[in-house]
Amino acid sequence: MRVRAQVAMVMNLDKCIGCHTCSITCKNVWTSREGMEYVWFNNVETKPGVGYPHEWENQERWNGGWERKDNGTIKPKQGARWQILTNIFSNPNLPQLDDYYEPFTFDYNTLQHAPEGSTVPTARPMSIITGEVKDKIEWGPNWDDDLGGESAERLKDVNADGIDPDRLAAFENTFLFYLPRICEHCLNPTCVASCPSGSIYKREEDGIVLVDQDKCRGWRMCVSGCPYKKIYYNWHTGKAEKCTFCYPRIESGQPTICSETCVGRLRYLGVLLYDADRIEQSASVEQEQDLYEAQLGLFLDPKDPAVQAQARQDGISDNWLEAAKRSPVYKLAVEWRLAFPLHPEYRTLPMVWYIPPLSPVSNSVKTAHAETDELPDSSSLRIPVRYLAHLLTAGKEEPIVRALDRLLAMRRYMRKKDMGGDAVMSLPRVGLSENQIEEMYRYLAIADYEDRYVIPTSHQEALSHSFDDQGSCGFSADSRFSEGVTGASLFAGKERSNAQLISVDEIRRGNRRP
Amino acid sequence: MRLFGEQVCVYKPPVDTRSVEAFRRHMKDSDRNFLVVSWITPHQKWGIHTTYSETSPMLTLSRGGPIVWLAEVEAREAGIRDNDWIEVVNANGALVARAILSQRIPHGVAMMYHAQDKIINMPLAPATGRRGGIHNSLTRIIMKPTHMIGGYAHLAYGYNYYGTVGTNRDEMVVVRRLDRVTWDADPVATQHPSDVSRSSMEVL
Amino acid sequence: MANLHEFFFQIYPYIAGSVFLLGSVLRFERGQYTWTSDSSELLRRGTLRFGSNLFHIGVLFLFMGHVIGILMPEVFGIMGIGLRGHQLTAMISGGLFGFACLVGLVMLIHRRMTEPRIRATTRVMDLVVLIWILITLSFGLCTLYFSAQELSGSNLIPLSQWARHIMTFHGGAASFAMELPLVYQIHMVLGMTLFALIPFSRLVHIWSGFALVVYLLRPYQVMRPGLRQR
Repeated sequence: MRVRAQVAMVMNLDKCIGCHTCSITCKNVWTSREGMEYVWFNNVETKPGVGYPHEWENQERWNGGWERKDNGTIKPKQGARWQILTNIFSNPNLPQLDDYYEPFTFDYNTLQHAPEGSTVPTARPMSIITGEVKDKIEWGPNWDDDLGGESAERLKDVNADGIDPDRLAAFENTFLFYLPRICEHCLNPTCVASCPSGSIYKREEDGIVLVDQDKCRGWRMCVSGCPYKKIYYNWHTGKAEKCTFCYPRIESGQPTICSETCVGRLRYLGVLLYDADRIEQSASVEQEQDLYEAQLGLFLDPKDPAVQAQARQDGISDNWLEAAKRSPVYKLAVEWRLAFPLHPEYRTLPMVWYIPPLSPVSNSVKTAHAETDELPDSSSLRIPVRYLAHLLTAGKEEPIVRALDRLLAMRRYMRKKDMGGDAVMSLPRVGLSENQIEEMYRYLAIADYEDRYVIPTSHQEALSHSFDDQGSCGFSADSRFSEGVTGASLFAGKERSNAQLISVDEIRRGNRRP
Repeated sequence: MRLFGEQVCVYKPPVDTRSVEAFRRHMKDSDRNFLVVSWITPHQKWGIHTTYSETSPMLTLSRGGPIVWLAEVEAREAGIRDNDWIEVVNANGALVARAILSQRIPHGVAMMYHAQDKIINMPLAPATGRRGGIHNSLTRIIMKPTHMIGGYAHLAYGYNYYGTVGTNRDEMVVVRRLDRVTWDADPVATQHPSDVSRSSMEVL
Repeated sequence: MANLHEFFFQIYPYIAGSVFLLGSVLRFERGQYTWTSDSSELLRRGTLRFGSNLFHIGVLFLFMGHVIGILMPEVFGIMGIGLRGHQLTAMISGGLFGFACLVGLVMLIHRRMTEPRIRATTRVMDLVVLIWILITLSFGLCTLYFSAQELSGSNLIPLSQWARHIMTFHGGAASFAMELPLVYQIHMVLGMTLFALIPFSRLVHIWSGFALVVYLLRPYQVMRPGLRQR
């Protein structure tokens, strides 16, 4: 056993209202720069839908993630090392800008300078890449928001496989839920494995996966390697960039910016201890449907004295062990089995987990409970369990049903408690005690800030030489504050202390580059 | 108010505004694909008017400009596909927007979120020759005397501003596909606003 | 004229070489954030699949061909191939891969000029490099004509001698270069300049390209140590 710690996330899909606040704050903080206009480290998708980039879950098309070989080992689906190198001159698995979307703005300048006319002027859409004015925006990062778009197109969603499309597409059976997505900061990341220059790495101290901006050579194999398509190519600097899990915030004990600003209070951050020796073994289990359990098996009980002793020996500090004991992620994922990994079948062992959403009662079920004043059970919910299972457990339905039953049992219990009646009656069936239910209620319904985010501060004093950081810019990829672009000079551009990274004026003039 | 039975919000049958019948007859003759549907204009998801859906990032996270939601099957039968430019017309006015076809819209309804920005991504409406218009271009206030009772300032009548409960938006519209959009009008005004609805009939 | 020759074939190789080596080191040390292949594949692949593969495979072969054929001509001797055979091998394989490279390069230039997104994001240096390679390559292919006039392989000897003298820091190298037809000389100067351009352009990724061998030996996962290891 080799104990490592990671700050992991759980998102409660039951509470996501699709307001996109997380996406906007993330965009403003991390990707409002040239070359990154099309990039959303955090995005919120409407499910069922094809998402962003187009059909990212369809690995037949994108070849992301891992696949198990006959000899029981795994290799990236896009190919073993030598196969990846043969694609270096042109990567057939790389999504194109049109699969994400061509970033656009509007010709706002017209509004101020249009000549007098018979009708008001309007700002036409224009490409941020070419400055070209367009007749119509054809695709965006959230094109199917709120089930927008024809169902034949939307139901290319691979999670809908094996579910009667007529049933999904009918107005009477309509359902939707939102899926906020960030980088999964996997235990077995394919982006890292696919990087020919070894520039992507997982931090041992907190599990955050980062791209070394100096070492990245722009081979763009990580983009196609990642099955979640959450690592992006910055066309301006020629480097890959990805969700940083807001590591400067995490280091100082603060939640990521997407979590901090989440209106629905649906994100949880906490420490998970895991056994690093068994990662490969867990990622290589034969049956895809066993991957969820296999990953669960990696997580260690922070209250177990043996684990604690080993963790100390492996250099995990006391404040991290304390945080692990109070970790909401551990409770939701391991103790209560409410949260699940996103697409475990990719074999990346993702570390952002999801609580499946409840949904209205299905139209096809007789509404007996409406008369008995009872809450429905999980089988009568409108979102097909199979759909959720495709999304979260590689198709295995039992764990999903158990989680939904527990969520419903909690509601039933609280309802009985408030309305009078025997609250504990239904609990044994879902395998939870009264105390656990009360605690679940506290974490899921009340969801206090202190309960949602238990993040130990890192030990930067031991990790870095802070003396060197004096007077440096908070986030800058090199000491010269450069944009990472060399024109004809040996080094990056001149120092630009007041650089506007996206020059609005230039966009408006429509001639962005010489 | 109580005397007139108007103090409680209850269902009231829609007002026949007679705003589409003429179009419908006309368009039937012209053998063109179109939809005649009722027009609803709710507030959008987590916002009202242009807050905050008209900021540039939020426009990116939607479809980037005015959109009208249509019922998928019905719209396709009328020759309208997702993201097509459409014109929505009735006797009150016209607007141009892009269609979103969706399974979540019931048949017989077109839905446009309230007060999307008219000065962004809005071509000219062929029916009027003017900038497309917003959701209220298609609605008119029907005077309802009970609403003037009491003389409270917030209940004062204003032209197309305040009217009967809900029913002022309760309209029928004609929706048709636009094969081509134009963006720029003649530089000088040639039409008086009062000519607009007359000419729109002629265009159709 | 002799002075010019002396400059271009005795002094310039060292200038170009120094710029190439020192420049690369400096950029690696001081501006590594800019060290990238600067791929434009994301914006629109277009003809990249064919163009880039043809070009890169062609140019890699040409590079290896030059290294072996000019710096290590003994290889042919060991394999029992005479001077004439050496020249024929060079002409045929070089011509073949040179032509493939040329086709790929033209496709790449065409893509860069005609795809609106690529064109809009192209930097001056990208074009300079592409055009420079195009000219160098064209002159290189032109030498085929002159080689065909003289199939005995007699041009190979001064070429090899020149390269050897330069590489071993011997004087008198220019005199060998003077024996070669003008097309050869122009090709050589253009080629040397190309090396000097490397540190100033995206061509620095050539270094990284050769370093990719390390990937084949590396474990898949990369972990940067935390507290324990410090």
